Order: sequence, then C-alpha cells, then structure tokens
Amino acid sequence: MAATATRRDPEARGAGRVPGEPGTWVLVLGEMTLFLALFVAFLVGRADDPELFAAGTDRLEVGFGLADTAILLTSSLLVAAAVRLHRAGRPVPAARSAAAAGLCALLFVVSKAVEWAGHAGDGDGPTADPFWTLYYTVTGMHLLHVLVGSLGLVLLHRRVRRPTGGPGDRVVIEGAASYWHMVDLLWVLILPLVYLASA
Amino acid sequence: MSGRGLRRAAIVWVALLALTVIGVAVGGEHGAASPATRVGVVVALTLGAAKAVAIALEFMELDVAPALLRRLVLGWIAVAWTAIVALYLAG
Repeated sequence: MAATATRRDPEARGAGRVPGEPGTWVLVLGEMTLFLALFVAFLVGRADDPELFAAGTDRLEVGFGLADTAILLTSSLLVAAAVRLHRAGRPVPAARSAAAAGLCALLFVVSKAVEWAGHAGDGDGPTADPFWTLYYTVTGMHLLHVLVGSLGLVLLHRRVRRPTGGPGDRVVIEGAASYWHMVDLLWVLILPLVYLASA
Repeated sequence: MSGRGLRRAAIVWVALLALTVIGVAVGGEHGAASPATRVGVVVALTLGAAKAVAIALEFMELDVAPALLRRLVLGWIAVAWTAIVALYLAG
C-alpha cells in the first residue's frame, strides 16, 4: 500500500507526516476558526442575558447531547479503523468500517432532527429568542459540517474498498478522515458549551 | 497489522466515552448559578478540551505529524478553551 510505504519512509517519519495534504489542514483550521467565532458569539449572547440562556439550557435535553457525542466518537473510531485497515491491505473490513461510520453519521442527523423538531414543536424555534437563535446557529452549522463530512465518508468508502490502491488514495482517504475527526472534535466542545455552560 | 494499530484507538475511544459521561455528570447540574455549578461547568469544559486533544493526537494522527501542524491544532484547542472558560466565568 502506498500509504504504508510513506509511513515507513524514514525521511517522512523523521519530518513528521501530514495526514492527507496541507490543503486539507488549511480547510480544517479555517473551519475551526469559524466555529471559535460562533462559540464566542454564543457566550457573548449569554453574557447579555444570563437568565434567558439559563432558562434555555434548562429546556435542552442533555440526553440528546450525550447520545450525539457517543455516536460521533464511535464514528471517529470507525473512520480511524477504516484508514488503518486500508493501510494493512484489508479492503473488506476497511469498507465495512467506513460504511458503519456512514450509518453513524445518518444516525446523528436523525437524532438532531428529532431534537430540533421537539423544540420547535414546543414553540422554541430559531427565532423564539436569542438563546434559541444561537443554539440553532451553532448546532446547525455543525450539522452542515456533518453533511459535508458525510460526503467525504462516501469518497473514503469508495477508496478503501478497492483491493489495490489507486493514485491519490492516501490524500483522499486521510483528507476525508481528518475532516470527519474535525467534526467530532468540534462537537466535544459544543456539548459542554451549549448543553451545560449556560447555567 | 502494519503501521498504526487499532488497539490504542479503541482504548482512546473508551476513555473518550468515559470522559463524556463524567463531564455531563459533573457539569450537568442546572439551576441557580452557584459556585459549585460553575466549577462543575469549568471541569466539563476542560474535559471537553482534553477530549479534543485526544481526538487530534490519536484519531487525526497528529502525534506523528509535523510539529507545526500539531501545534496549530493543539494551539487552537488551547485558545478555544481559554476563550470559552474566560467568557463563561465573566458572563
């Protein structure tokens, strides 16, 4: 496998190895910076009206946050497994692992849809008050990135299931995996920020 | 298996799930904003940042990436944690 050869290349190891390609990380760091701005906006909104945000947080169900976190952490493990199984020359389990990660992504979308529908049904829609506007903005932007990351998982699945490696496989597979892990990394910060920190 | 194995990733996954449950248990006490609530939330935010570091190093494989890339991502987590905790405590 090309990726394994790269990993074993003493020169590459000595210098450290960029997962995917540098462009992947320009994108990832740019997205992370955008989210940092959203996190700050959320907390500035809370500072403007702490009681409103405390009341809003009380209406959130942390069970959804917990389930979503478990789903995304599991999907990240499955993606990491798919990458490593691919490198080990095991396309069948790699593809299964990638497909299972995709199912986790779908499960996350369904969970978020159920959570949002519940709140909107209770009259807590995106325009109800500043808390709900920021709640939907932060979780909605994250969901958008879950959807983009899911397209990456489709590409990853197509590449890892090939019995023989093709050109550019490493960049596509590691790039898609890194983007997906970013989606996970952002969520583990959103969980305490949105579901806990308003109290 | 050649290269990086799965065992460590699985151990990290278990640890991440455990930290998630601990974080919610400690930081999930809603109600009056008492000092104890604030400490719990800061602990939960800190556990969140620790989880982000673990995701970056193990799942993103930044532990074997060039130092600059590793520092950029870990630096972002440090800045995010600092900003979030500072704004939370100030708010």
